[in-house]
Amino acid sequence: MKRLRKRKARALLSEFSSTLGSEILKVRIYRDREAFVCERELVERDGTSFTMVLPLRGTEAARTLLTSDPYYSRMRGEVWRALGQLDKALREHDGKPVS
Amino acid sequence: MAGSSTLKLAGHALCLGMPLLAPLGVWLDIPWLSPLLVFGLFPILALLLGEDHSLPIAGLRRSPMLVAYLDFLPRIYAVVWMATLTWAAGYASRMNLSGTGLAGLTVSVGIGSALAICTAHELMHRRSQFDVLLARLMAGLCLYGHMVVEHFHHHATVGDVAAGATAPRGMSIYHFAPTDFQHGLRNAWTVESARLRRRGAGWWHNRVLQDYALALGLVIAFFVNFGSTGLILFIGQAVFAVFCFEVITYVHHYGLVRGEGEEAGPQHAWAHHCWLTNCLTFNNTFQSDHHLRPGTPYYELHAMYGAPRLPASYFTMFCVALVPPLWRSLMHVRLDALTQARTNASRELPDWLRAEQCR
Amino acid sequence: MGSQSPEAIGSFEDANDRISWLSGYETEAEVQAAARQIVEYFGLQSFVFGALFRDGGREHYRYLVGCEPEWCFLYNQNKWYAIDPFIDYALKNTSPVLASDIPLNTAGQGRLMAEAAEHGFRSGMVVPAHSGSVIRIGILYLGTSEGPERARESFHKHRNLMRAFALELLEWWDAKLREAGLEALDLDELDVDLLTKAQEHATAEEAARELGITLSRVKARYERLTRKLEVPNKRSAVQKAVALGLIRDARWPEARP
Repeated sequence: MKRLRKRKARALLSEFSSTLGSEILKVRIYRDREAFVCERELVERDGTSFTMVLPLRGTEAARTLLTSDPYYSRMRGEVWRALGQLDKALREHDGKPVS
Repeated sequence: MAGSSTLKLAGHALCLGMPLLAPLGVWLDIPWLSPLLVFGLFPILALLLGEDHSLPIAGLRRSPMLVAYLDFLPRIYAVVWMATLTWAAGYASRMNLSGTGLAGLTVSVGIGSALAICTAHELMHRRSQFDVLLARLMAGLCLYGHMVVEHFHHHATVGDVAAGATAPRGMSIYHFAPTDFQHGLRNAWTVESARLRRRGAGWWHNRVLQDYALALGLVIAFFVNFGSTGLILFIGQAVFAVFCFEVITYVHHYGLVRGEGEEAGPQHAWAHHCWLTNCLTFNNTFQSDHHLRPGTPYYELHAMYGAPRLPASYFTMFCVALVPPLWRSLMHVRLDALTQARTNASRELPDWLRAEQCR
Repeated sequence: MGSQSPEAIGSFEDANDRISWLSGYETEAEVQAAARQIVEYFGLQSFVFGALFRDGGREHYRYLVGCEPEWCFLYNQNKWYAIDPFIDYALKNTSPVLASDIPLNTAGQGRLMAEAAEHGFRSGMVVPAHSGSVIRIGILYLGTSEGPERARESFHKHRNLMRAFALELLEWWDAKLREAGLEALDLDELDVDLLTKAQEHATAEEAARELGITLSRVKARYERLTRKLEVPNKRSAVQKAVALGLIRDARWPEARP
């Protein structure tokens, strides 16, 4: 029997989505233990999905990634909000040990 | 004191002293030291220390050190006990003990073994393969090979007289102990055979067989290393430990039979939340909570509302159970009151019968 | 394992060790960092590991990216997954193959390869990885911006390690997806145990006795499982759980019962 549920090591920092015609684009940035990961999921109308998983080394890498997305112009506001949250999380991570 | 959760967590370490009472008794030349303390002094101590009002510490898991201490404690107990058992067999063999000397040492070790079964009970509910195997080894050392498989069966069938483990009203411990042992073996065999048949696995995967084979191997090992005296001690402590376990099972569930279609609940296990007992047995008195949440570690268990109350601690009730007329006179009053309570509209237990909830 | 620093790999033994350590890493970041070192040892620069799994009629592709992200954006935007000759190859084969050995049959495939060449995959190889489930496969794309001779040389030298690399990535991915699947559906290990018992055709009573819980709890849990998995019955719950990687496919039983 499982003991108490394991403490979740993965924390969602930000998430946003955009409907692009018949597709939905979802972007999630996680803090996974001591690392940060960006997931970019494109879901087709028939439910088929493509998820890119890219570990992030810093805000700059995230900025390069998200602004080079072909759909960046449709999600500009959300992208910059997400980058702000990531920047804050990175500074907190660098400032004190991960609990 | 009995309400301090921190003190309670520290108190669990007291269990490590229990197997060491045997060598201490030898050193003090009091071979019966352990039973004298456990059945003579502990009931008084239990009364003085009072009931366990402690609650699990909120946020305990934010302290990895504390959790590690609590998780490791049963494993440390296993090591201390196994070392004491081996030492005792060697000592008995070297000194060629016999008569009351051998009996005293055997019973003293057997008390540690009874608590080892309690410890194995905690370990077997964990997900770690290592802990489960350790539990099986401990059961093997107590010659109780079907314990682990049967215990899971017990959880599924608590309150069902036909499944064993719940003594019907009127049955004495002397009738219950061998009956329950046989029931347990039969249940474990049935469950295990069905499991292997479904998986198409061979008989050698039968865990009951494996654990009894281990027990047999240990019997041979003790005989080879410590001769007939060591073997007598080994078998004696196992018999004593298993009998203690049966007595505690008897005390836990006596007369609390589940009705037709009734769900298992706190009302199917007697409770007496004795601080000392809880420290020494990894919160074994929180039976009701354990039955509702079998996978919960001992340090996160607590008293349940609705559990009926035993008149005294396990140490006292153990002795009472050995005297059937005394047992019946104490317990049948309670069973009658429980039956009466069930007929009330509110189904509330009277105060004197309610095991105190942790405050 | 997760604390191993990704130093450069200097020997076959080192590379072999680094590949076997993959299963011990806890995050995609650790796996990606280790993978970069392994790919560098092969004398290559880029990689993408794709895991394809099916959930009923739907397909899901999940890629761990070790190349220019723009390449993946382009691949998605052009829906090249529909014509990717390497996916076709990986679905039907288990051997690693040089990309140049796979014939291109359409203009679209030609364009795909041309664009790949511009983004770090001028030449390379494809390594299929198949797990115990027919519903899940892995495809490791390895690439270099150098000419085909480079890829050929690397392929012949490191083919076996590449195969091991792809398999370890798939196993790691499987475990990670299982964890994520359990979390997303809010399932715990008892749910997994119950699904496994149902897969073995255990009755509810047998499951209760073997898991040490009451029959009513078993029934309540099965009901909850069918609700969470959005299926009508226990049997479908098992099928969906296998599809999502929450439990193993029964055709490939565990080594120990």
